[in-house]
Amino acid sequence: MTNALRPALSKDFDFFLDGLEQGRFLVQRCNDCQATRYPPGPMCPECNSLKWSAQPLSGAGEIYSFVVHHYPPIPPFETPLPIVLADMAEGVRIMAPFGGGADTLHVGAPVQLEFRPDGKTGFQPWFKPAETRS
Amino acid sequence: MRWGDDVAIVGLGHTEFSTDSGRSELQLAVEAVTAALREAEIRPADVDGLATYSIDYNAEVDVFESIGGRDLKFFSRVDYGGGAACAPLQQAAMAIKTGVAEVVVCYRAMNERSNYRFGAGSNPAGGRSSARSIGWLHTSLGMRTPAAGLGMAMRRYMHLYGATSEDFGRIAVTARKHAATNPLARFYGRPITMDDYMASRMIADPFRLYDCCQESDGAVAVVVTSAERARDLPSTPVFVRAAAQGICDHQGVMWNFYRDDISWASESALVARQLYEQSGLAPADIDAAILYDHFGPTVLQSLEAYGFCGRGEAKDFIKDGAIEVGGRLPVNTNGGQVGEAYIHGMNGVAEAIRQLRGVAANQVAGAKNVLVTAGLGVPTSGAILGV
Repeated sequence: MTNALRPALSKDFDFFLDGLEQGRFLVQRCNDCQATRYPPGPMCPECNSLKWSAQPLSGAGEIYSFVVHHYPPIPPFETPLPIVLADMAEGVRIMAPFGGGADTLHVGAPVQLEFRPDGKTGFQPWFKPAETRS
Repeated sequence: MRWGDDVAIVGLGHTEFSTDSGRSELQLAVEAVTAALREAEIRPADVDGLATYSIDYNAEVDVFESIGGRDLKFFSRVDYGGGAACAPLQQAAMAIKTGVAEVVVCYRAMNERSNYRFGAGSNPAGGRSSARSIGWLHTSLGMRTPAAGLGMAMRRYMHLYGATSEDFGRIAVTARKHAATNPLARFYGRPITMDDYMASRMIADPFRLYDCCQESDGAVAVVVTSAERARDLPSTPVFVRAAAQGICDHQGVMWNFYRDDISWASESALVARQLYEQSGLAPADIDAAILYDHFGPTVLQSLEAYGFCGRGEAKDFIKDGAIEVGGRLPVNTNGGQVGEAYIHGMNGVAEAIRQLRGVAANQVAGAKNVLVTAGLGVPTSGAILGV
C-alpha cells in the first residue's frame, strides 16, 4: 500500500506507516521463533526468518533514558522538547517525544504512548506520564 | 595478528582551520595533500593510492588530476562520518602490506562550516535507503541531531554511574586549556573556567554548548608508505602499529538506542581489542590519547572502552587532572575537536603524528605510542601510532 503523502522509505517500513495512519504503534513478531523486534527490518536477527506479523504495542513502558532538545529549532516540534527512550511491556525499546512535565521525566518512570493527529493523514506517537508502573 | 613496524606515516600536511576558508573544498584537499607530499619528499607521480571518508566531497579523480597523478591503483572510502577517522589509515596499511599500493595518501577536506552546516538539525543518515528509513523514523520522533542522540546515551551513563555536569565540565575545561596554547586551534588563547561551563546554555540536555564541537573548514592529509621506503625519506617515520574498525550488535549511527546498554560503546571496545592485539601493547603503554570528541562527555566512554579504567570509573579517573598534559594520560593535547577544530578526526591523527615527532604545541615528553580514535557511537575505527 502506498500513499503519495508518505515519505519515500524502504518497503520494510510500509506496515509501520500503515499503523501510524491508524493510530497504532506496530512492531514485528517473528512467525518462527516469536521474537519481537523494532525498528522495522526484513529479517529476524534471532533466527533469520523472513516471516513475521505486525503486532500493536499496548503503549505501556518505562523510561530507559531521555534527552531534552534545546537547539537548533526542529519544527513542527516546539523546543525545549523532551525525547524519551522507553522499554515497553512487549520487550522492545522505542523512542517518542514526551508530552509531560519535567517533574515526571526521570529514568525508571512509567510512561504510556498516546497518539495525536499529525495534521496530515495519520498520528504522531507521544509519551505521557503513566499513573502506575506497567 | 601482530602487525609489526612495516608501515609508516612519512608526511603530514594541513591547511589552517577556520570558520570560512574562502576557497573550494578541492583546493583545501590538494593543498593538504601536496603539503604532505612535499614534507615526505615524495613526488605526486609516485602516489598510487588514495583513501578517504565516504562523506568527503572531493572525488579521487579530481584530487588525483589536480596533483598531477599518473597511475592510481588503490582508492578506498569508508562510511559513517567521523567514525571513519582512522579507517583510511587502516586501508592504506592493508594496501601497503599486501603490495597493492606503495604510497597511499589519506585525506579529509571540508568547508563544513561555510558551505553547509553539518549539525543543522536535519537527518544525516545519507543516501542509503535502509539508513534513510531509520533516519526518517528518528527524525519524525523529534530526534534530529547528533547532540541529542549521544545526549541520550550519556544521560543513561549519568544514571548508571552518577556522573554529573561537573564531570563533563572537567573535560571541556581541559580541552579548552590545551587549545588555548595551540596556535592552530580555533580557541587559541581562549580558555574557559568551570563557572563558564556551568553557565553555558543547554543544547541537548545533558549536553551544554561547551560540550559540542563546532563545524569547521579545513583539510588534513597524511602520506603512508612502507617502512622500507621510509628509511630513505627525510622525516622520522611514525609507524602504524595498529589500525582497526568496529560495528557491533544493534549498531546505529549516533543512536545505538536498541542495544541492551546504550551507555557502553561496544564498537569502540571492539576496536580497542584489535588495536592492543595487533600492536602487542596495553593501555599502560599509551603515552597520550586523542579520543574523538564530537561531544566532550563521550571521552568518559572512550576512556573505559579503550581500557584506561573500569566501566563507570572514568569520572573518577579524570578528577585529578589525569587527562591534562603532565597527567597520567594526556588526552586531546591539541584541544580536541571541541577546542582545535572539527575535521572529523583527521586533525586528531595529525596531532598524534606531531606528538610522536616531538613537535606538538603541548608536547608530551618522550611520547612513543599514541592512541587515536574515531567517532564514538557510530561504526568506528582507531589506530595506535608509534615511534
